[in-house]
Amino acid sequence: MFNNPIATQINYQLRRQFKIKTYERLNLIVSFVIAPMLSFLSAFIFRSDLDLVRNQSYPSYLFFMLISGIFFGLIGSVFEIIKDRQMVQRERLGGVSIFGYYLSKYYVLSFFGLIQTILYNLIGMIFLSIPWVLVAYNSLVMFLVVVVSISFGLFISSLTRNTMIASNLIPVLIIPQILLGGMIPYSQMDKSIFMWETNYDTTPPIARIMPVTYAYESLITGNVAFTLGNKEINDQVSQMVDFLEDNQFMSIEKDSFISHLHCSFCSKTWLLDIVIIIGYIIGTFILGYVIFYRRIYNG
Amino acid sequence: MNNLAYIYKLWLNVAKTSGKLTTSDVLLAAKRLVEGHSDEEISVSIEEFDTLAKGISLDETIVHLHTIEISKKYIILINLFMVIMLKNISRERTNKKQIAALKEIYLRLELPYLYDILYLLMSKKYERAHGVLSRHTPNIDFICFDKNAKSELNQSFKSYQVSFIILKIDDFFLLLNNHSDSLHIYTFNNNDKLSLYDKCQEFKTEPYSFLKHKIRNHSIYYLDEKSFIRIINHEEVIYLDYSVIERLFSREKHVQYLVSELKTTEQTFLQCSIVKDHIYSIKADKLYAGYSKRRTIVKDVNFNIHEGELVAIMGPSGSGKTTLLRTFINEAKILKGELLINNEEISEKYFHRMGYVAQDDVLIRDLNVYDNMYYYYRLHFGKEKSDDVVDKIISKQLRDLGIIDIKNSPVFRNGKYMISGGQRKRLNIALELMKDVDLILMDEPTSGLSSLDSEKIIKELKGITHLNKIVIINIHQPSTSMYRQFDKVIVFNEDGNNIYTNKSSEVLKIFKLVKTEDAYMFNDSEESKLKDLECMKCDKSDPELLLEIQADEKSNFWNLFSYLNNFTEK
Repeated sequence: MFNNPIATQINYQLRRQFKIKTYERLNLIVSFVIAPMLSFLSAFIFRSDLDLVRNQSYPSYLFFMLISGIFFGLIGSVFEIIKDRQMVQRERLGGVSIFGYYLSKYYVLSFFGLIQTILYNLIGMIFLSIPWVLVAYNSLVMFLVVVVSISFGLFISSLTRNTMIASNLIPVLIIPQILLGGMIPYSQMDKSIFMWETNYDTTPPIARIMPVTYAYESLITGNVAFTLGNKEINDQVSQMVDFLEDNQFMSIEKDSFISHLHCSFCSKTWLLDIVIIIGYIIGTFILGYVIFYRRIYNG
Repeated sequence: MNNLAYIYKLWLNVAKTSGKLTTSDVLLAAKRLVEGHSDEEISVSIEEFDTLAKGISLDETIVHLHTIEISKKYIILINLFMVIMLKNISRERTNKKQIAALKEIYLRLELPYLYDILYLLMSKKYERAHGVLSRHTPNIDFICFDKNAKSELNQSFKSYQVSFIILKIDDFFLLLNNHSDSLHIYTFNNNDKLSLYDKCQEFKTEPYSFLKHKIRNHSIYYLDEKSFIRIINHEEVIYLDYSVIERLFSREKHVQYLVSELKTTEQTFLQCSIVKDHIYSIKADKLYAGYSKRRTIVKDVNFNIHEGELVAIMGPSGSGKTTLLRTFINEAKILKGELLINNEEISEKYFHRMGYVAQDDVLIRDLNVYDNMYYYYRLHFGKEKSDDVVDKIISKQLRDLGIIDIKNSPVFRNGKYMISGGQRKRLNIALELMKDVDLILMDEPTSGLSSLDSEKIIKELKGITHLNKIVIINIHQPSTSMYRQFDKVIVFNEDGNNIYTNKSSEVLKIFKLVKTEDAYMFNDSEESKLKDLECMKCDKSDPELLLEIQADEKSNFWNLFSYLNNFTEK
């Protein structure tokens, strides 16, 4: 081959991908404007009280933040490989690493996803008076969801051959996560979703495969854990958790949750959920890359 | 240094078998040629090499030679070594030991026939050498102009003191060796042998403002393309068609050609990489290919293609033209038969010597023309060269293909292309040429282009084949002038059967038969039938017939063609 080290290739792939993403300035501006706009809309709707402590809709804001994250990640990535496939096939003939291409695509999309995440949370912070520590934590979880969605998007993009199919798959990925992510009480759903589970107080198995379920759980428990120093907020958030749990909004096991609130349990749950989400990221990245590799080499 | 020592050792061991070559002879020649070192440095190097040479056997040296990554200069050293050995052989033909050693090296380097050829040349048995070469390289238009042959040429050449020394490779290398400081190389475009006289005249008067580049101690002057070298050796001017020499050496895996380096300009010199796994021939033998066993698209394909050829794949829509091209790059599967590159099964090691230009543009819309090329180059060749050098390389490619004016243009903006279809095709070609590939596969390079643009592209592709590259294209309806550029044509019928493969001029003869037969079968007017029959007798082929036939795909022309082809063969 051309004896070009993989590190050098990744370096140039990153630069090229960055240039591609910034080429259409208008497109870039729109994507950066949409995040704060959605945040403003969401914060405006889910602001039952100007004081966060008394804002009962705060959990809903957090949930829609995650849905927005999925949206940003998917929209940004789902067409990326489809449009580059022929180019990648041509370049691999010359020994250009397709792993370098895939990785750089992932990095660059994640970078722009990070900017959108930060913009989203800054606006939320202003309108909902969210403390810095929670903004930072919420941003982290939202960013992880964006990255998971990018993984899913690249996976779909590798799997499908045209943009129409890819477009149609976007709602297939988003709608179930809205339905089963934990915002709508499972108790109000058909019992068949519990499948083999006889305990209807627990999270349905089908919801357990949704990354948003873990992200939402992580956000709620994390918000409790990170506000321990502020008793007023912590109490309020804890009450929300109680409310959500009692109504089966969350996948936390009720018994263990109640006994461990305030909040050693919380501190473990948010961390565990983040680990699971990172697992999703790694898993979908590998899966997406394998599919991409097979598509490029086997047609 | 270690690699150099091994190569030096290789020389030394063989040289010892004759006792004719001294260490300083060899090293001086090599150093002058490769590095341009001073005499003082050379004498120091000789001592170092003598130390290194001890205790290494010829076998070890050759084995090691295979394992090391041979850089350009080392291969040049091998070339030089071979030439010096040949000179010795020509002086002492009876030295069997020396001949045996040389033969062994050629065999180890997988050059058995080249050994035979060069040995015959040194023995001044030009005809026999020609015969051996022709057997192994039937595609070479072998021009054997020695001093006797020269007298038969146009007398006008004498007035320009033109001598053609094509096959006396030893003289050529010796010249470089002994007079490298006074070596000047001029090159110019010469695609047509008939215009040689005119070209020489232009050359003599030097009407062009030559660009001058320094490589080591050599001055190199060049124009757009390079077909001839003029070597000024004191009073004598020698015109040398190095394409033959180049072909001789470039066919081999382990031997790089000296000429290639010398002709190279400063930018392209830097661009040069090791020509490993150079593609010089492609052969299909009863090839069946497709996407699965149930979907066999192309059937019974047979062809033999050599470097320097422009080959067109023709046939009706859906006959498998694109599938055949995709088989080369492993996007379609070989289901039966063989597809061989350099007489080996096609494999990934040849992929980096191939360039595939799909029917659709494979450009990044969200980058401008320059960035498309810049990143393509960087991803293939890394960061060794500065941005200035890469810029020069890109500019040269764009200039060569006549699209330098769009260098900084966006490819796509606000929902529409900012460069024309022809420019995009050229840009795709430029991307592949930048990689310096040996085999360019192009799917419908003229689709969607105006006839003028189409003809330009085909001419450019023909020009590319003069650089010892193979270009294979799919084409649907070539115009007469386009058709005349093809060296070979591979014809498919609508069922995907390869019904004919031959020189383009031969194909036309069969088409004429088809046309005549068709006129007869479909009760065409007597007048046209007679006209066609009349034309059958003339030597002049008319590609327009081909166009007429292709335009009427629904007819039985393709099958009739196959039938008549078999008939004429019998």
